[in-house]
Amino acid sequence: MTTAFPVEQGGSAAAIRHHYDVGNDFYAAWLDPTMAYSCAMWEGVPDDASLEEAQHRKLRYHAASIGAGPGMRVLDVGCGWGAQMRTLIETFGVAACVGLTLSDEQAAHVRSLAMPDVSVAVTNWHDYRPQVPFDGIVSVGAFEHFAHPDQSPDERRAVYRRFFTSCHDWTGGRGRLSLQTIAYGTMEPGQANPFITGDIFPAAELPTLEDIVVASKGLFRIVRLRDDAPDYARTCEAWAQRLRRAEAAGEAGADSALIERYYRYLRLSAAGFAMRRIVLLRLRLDPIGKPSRRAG
Amino acid sequence: MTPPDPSTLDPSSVTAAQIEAWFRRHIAALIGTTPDAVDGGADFESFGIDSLQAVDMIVALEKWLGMPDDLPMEMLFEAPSISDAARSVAEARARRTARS
Repeated sequence: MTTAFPVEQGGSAAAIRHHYDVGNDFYAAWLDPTMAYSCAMWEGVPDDASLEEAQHRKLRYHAASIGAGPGMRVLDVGCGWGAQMRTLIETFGVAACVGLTLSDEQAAHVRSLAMPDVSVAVTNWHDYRPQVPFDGIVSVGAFEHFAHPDQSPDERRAVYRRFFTSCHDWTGGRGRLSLQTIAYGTMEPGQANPFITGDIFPAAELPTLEDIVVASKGLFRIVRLRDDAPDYARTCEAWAQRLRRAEAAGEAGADSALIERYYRYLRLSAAGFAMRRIVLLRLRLDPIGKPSRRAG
Repeated sequence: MTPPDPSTLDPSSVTAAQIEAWFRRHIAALIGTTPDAVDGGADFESFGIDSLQAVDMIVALEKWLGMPDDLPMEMLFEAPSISDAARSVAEARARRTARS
């Protein structure tokens, strides 16, 4: 399965498109209105909060983690359908956002929103060379795609190191990074279900917490670390239920095999997080070397 | 080899024993043996059931019990035995019936 999506520096574009370019309408049928396709946050919202409320909470959490505020320029690595950038601009008054994605469909969607002060580039972070430094970086649900199963553990850490070095450079060593990623919990690399690694997310290899600690050493201080695996179990369960409802309402498209594939994947993932075989890490990383651009 | 017809059961009174029997029939069909040969004291993983088969099993069980999307898969994976899982499912079923 991995041979179809060979190793590319920084993450396989073909693999990303395999997953995300099945159609915006399909995702819109079962994601919440923010189109956030990553773990929501149920801390700080009422117990019976909707998925949409919990997604907004997550978006605000990451914005606050980098100290987002007026006048700042923020980079979103793996911007998805643009929800994080919208929150940064509309709620936190950020001056400008740049989003990176490898998915043409996501980029087209973000452009269609015509948000002022938001731009999107279909490019791999590995090849990205901004002209002007950023004041902060958010990356949610992208780190999972950076490494390839065919890479050795050392090669994977080198990719992660390169990412943290790039983030450090892109902010001139002064900006914070708010990172959210799935990581291996009690499950070891190689034990992942071939259905998830091969079919749903081809050419993806999860990091371990140790990978992140080692790869960011000397570049960023980990000032906050959360493992919110239960949040992701609840998010996946909510998505599975919404997908079933959309299917019943005839809103999920005609591809019943696709629907079934995603439904199983969401149920499986929910169980994986509930049992902590895989976990959901949220890290606030402050740069080492120069004073932070913003206090707070 | 087919599970009991749910229409013949009172949904509010499905017993742990009936659910365990359902599990044993389902697993027997998967691994090519008879329900009697499936030990209720063993855990699911001991039958070499992979996680995809487990998803299919829980979806089929939910359908039989008329409780879509309602059974967390870890109820199966983390159970020390099939009997324990059946008990947990029966309790979840009773809780759900009580709510509705």
